[in-house]
Amino acid sequence: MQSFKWINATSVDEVKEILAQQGDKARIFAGGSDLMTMLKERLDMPELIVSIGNIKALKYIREEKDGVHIGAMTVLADIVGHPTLGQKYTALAQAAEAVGSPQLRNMGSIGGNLCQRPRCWYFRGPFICIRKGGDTCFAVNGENRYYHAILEGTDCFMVHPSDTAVALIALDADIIIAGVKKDRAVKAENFFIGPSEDIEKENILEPDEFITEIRIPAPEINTRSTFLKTRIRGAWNFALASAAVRSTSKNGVCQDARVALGGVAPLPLRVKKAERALIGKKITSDILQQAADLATSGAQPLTMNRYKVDLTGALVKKAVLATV
Amino acid sequence: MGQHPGCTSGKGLTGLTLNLPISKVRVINRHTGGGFGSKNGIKQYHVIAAMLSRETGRPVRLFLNRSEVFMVTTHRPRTRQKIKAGFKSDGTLTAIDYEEYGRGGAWNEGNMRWASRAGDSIKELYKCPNVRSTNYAVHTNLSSPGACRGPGNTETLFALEQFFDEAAVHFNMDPIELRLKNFAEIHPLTSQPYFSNGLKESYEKGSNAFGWKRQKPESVKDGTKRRGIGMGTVHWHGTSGEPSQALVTVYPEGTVEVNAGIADIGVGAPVIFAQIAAEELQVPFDKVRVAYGDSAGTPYTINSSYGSRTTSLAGPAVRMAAADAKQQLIQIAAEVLKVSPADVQLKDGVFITKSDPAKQASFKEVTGQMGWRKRRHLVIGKGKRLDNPKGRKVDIFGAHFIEVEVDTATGSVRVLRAVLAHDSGRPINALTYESQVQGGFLMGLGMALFEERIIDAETGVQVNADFHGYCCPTALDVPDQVTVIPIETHDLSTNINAKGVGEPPTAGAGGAIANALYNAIGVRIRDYPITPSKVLQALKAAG
Repeated sequence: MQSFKWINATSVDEVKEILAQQGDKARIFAGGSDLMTMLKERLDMPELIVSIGNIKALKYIREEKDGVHIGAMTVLADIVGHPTLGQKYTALAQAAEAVGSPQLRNMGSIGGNLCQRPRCWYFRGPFICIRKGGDTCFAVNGENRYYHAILEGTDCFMVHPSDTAVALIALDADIIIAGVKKDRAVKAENFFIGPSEDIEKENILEPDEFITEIRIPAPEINTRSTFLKTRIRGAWNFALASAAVRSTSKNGVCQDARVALGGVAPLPLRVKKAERALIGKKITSDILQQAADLATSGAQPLTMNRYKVDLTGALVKKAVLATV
Repeated sequence: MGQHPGCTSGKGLTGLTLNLPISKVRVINRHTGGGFGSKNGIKQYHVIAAMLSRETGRPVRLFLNRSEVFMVTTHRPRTRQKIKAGFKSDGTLTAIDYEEYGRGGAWNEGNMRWASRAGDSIKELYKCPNVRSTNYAVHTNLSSPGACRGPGNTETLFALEQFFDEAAVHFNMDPIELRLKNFAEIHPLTSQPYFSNGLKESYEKGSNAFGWKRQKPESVKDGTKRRGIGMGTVHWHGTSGEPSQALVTVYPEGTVEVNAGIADIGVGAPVIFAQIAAEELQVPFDKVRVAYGDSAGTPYTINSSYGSRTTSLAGPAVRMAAADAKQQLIQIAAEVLKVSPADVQLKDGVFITKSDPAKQASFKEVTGQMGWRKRRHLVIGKGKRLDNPKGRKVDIFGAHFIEVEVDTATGSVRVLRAVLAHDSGRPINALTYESQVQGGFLMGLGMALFEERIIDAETGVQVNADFHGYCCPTALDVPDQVTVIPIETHDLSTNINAKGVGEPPTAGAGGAIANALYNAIGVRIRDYPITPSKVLQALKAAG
């Protein structure tokens, strides 16, 4: 690990001030569970680390009229353990619980979970891959059996590691970003970017920006959500595939649906085609199959991960069934 | 020094490589976590650390992180196994033709032998008049293979027990019935009788506790989920004799000290030695202290704790040392009681005159005769491990019974319950025995379902050399019910009647789990680890 300067920030304004001057050289340290591994592996060698872990103003779960507001420094364990979040925003509580292990959920924050760097083993390993300035994605002809893309891969075929991102897209969340010039809010589905847009980053954050809050709109009546994840073992595993669905139904007819996928593309993916197959329909096994097929239509599996097409479809079906 | 206590065979493990006499080398190694074979044997890094220390005159701490462990230590080899067998129409085995290719490393410093072990079970588990086992250790550009908990048999039983399961389906027989049909009353290779054999009892008690009744594959359904049950035989070789010494000292106050040159690799061997000495000398357990884990002050007791044999190798030496001490105490008691030593026995912790049971001396009364004040030497008993009596074979047996649930939509496999019946002779400590069986089984479960070193073929780099990428089982993967059933046999290979328990539960786990999985989904997966991807691929291929 290379030496660096550490600043323990105590307010959002202080962070902004620091980033205004040294944004390019700085990294935000929330729970540290991802950044520490990047530093230890010398994949990232920032000169300055700004810890936001002690900013109490970023740790909260507040239920407001328009929905729930979650401070970016709220740790995942608090989301899992919240008394009402699990009932109204089920997909998020389930996704938070599916992250890592109890130790990681005690340290890892919701903001940090969204800003994780790729977990592709070539990116993390001793390979100069295209995302690290090289000219190739080693996964294409290499080991792509578990954690590589079947959708939206161009040049880089990693899959975005965040579980909570998938749930937040399905829940139509907003991400509130503090910036030096201005603060802004974006839809969760627009927060992430794929390799075709920028191969060196996974989200829209500029060097002088950081997440301060997540807002999830209050669910309509008769709305339910769920998050499902398949992994190799019972815990401490990234997704082979995951799906989050939020749907509103009346008399067995789907009024509204949002479907998002994880573990299958370089960014957590909203699949509108699958949503359209559900909306206005009575959920039959045929409709489920259509939604599952559409969710993965256009999939281009790599050499070892064709099974993920079926797996993703199966998760979409199960998730839709769980919400109607 | 990993699984080694320090000094071995009069050479001195470290002294050997530094050209130093044992008198100049002291190794302190009381506890080593996670031995499992990879910490067996002296490795380059041990020598490097010792040399650095000698050159600098300073302590040297050697620490391997997770990826370095994968890079420089040894691993269970990947194997490709092929079994062909002949049966009579009633299920009687007539021939086994076995072929194994094992992944070796780039060089051979004696460890290529681990690449293709063809575990004893191929030749020595079932009664079969004709067996051919052909083994190829294949050099690759990867790191070296080595022993890993239950080397050989773990690989072999995964294949052999699945093969028997398939054969049972073919003959439309219950898998236990087919195994009983081919049960070996005597050791197949040597035609010697066993000292003890609890295999039939393992089948019987295990299947009863499990509620064994196998239905056709895909019989138990719930939505996309399927449940199935499977069983497999556990087999491992026992311990024969090799040099092992222990000392037992009795102090004037009546306390006892055992000196044994072992390192505790997590199995609680010092506790077991204390129990053995306490039993022989009829003193309370808490009056016994075991000195171990330091090459200064302990005799040579074991070269290294491998092969499930720390108890069965060193335990007999401890008992003999305690028995020797007891004889010396009887001499002292005879003087106290003013009778001949032949007339004295130790019974319930009291020295009693056989011809006149009213004439007694307490343990402390006798030990109190020793020491500076009384001008009498302390009693020091010496013991050694005798060879097993000739003409008989010592093998370890058991049977695993498993229920799994498979989600056919996601490929996820969960082991719901396990009944593990193990004949390891006499279980000396019920708690450590159960822990060993549970832990060994869980390790086998990990190998069956999750664990693999994923190697980039182009570069030879292991891409999952970290804690989250290399998937050991987590607490959430432990079955809700794990029932351990000790099958106690009175094994006469040694004076402690114990055979060993560390490795057998690992060796037996995979085959039984794979058989349960077949029973759940009707498709057989022959490739470790059985991950969701393989389940989905196999189901798709089967249509």
